[in-house]
Amino acid sequence: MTVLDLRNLFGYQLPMGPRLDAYVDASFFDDVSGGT
Amino acid sequence: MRNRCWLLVMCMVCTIVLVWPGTSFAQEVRVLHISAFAQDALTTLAQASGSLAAAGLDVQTTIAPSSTEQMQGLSDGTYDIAATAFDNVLAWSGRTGGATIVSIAQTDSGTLLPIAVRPEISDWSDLRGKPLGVDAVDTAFAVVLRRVLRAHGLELNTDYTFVPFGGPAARLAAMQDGRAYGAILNPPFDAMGVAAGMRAFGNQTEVLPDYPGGVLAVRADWAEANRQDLDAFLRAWLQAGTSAASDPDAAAVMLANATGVPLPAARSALPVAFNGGAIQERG
Repeated sequence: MTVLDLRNLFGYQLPMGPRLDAYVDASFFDDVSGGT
Repeated sequence: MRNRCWLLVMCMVCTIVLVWPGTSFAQEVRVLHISAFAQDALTTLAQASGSLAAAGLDVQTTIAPSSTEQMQGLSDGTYDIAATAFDNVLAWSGRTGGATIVSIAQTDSGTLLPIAVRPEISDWSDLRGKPLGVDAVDTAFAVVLRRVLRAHGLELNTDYTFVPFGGPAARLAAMQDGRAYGAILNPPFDAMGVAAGMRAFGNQTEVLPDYPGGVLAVRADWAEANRQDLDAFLRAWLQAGTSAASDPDAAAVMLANATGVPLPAARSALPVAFNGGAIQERG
């Protein structure tokens, strides 16, 4: 997952930090996306 | 007599097999509790098509009265999955030591967040010194509105203020009576705003073209503990999304039949753009 500086984007400190991947878990999508 | 004994033995064997722990001939149905601001179309389609039932799943959807109730409910385990705005994940995940919440799929990559202003506003600079209406000042669409206003040279609490009015109906009402001069009015309130004399002032795509918008969000620890069920749900949900994207008319008919809503309403409830459900990597 590409890192995105959300702190700069939104201009304030986010609870879990500025990286997009802290808020996304792509593993579930990866588990099943090949089966559709 | 011999036949009777044989029949009795067979009955006893059947009884033992049926009551033996771990033996089940009827598949156990696991219920997933979903919180959404409106019935999620793809979940309904997955239910109506029977693919959720085939996976041993059922869903119960609760319509969320507010993002606060929804995200608190997701954090405390009242809900397993939230169909919500990505902003809410940003705002609530790990908040004050609370549960880690993650997005696992994008419900609609064509989500538009239309910005509306009062009729006397003709330029972004006209918003200086004015209050703008939001759901809550640090959640929901407020971060998006703040980012768009920053792109136009306006900073929160320096050039304008946010006033929390609640959902889009309350924001439109605040704009109509002059308590707010602008707000994000998500559909269908954008059209209702224009009909009431408000001005459409663009949307977030000029500044945030790949913003995730609507997502499915889960508590990270619940998702890990229930990976098999979540995978099965997501598989059925993705199947519904792919089918709806390839044949939206048929999906609309199925949705209308399943929910009892008129066909045009069912058609508009489908994702505007379903790009396979993956969250855009660029954000």
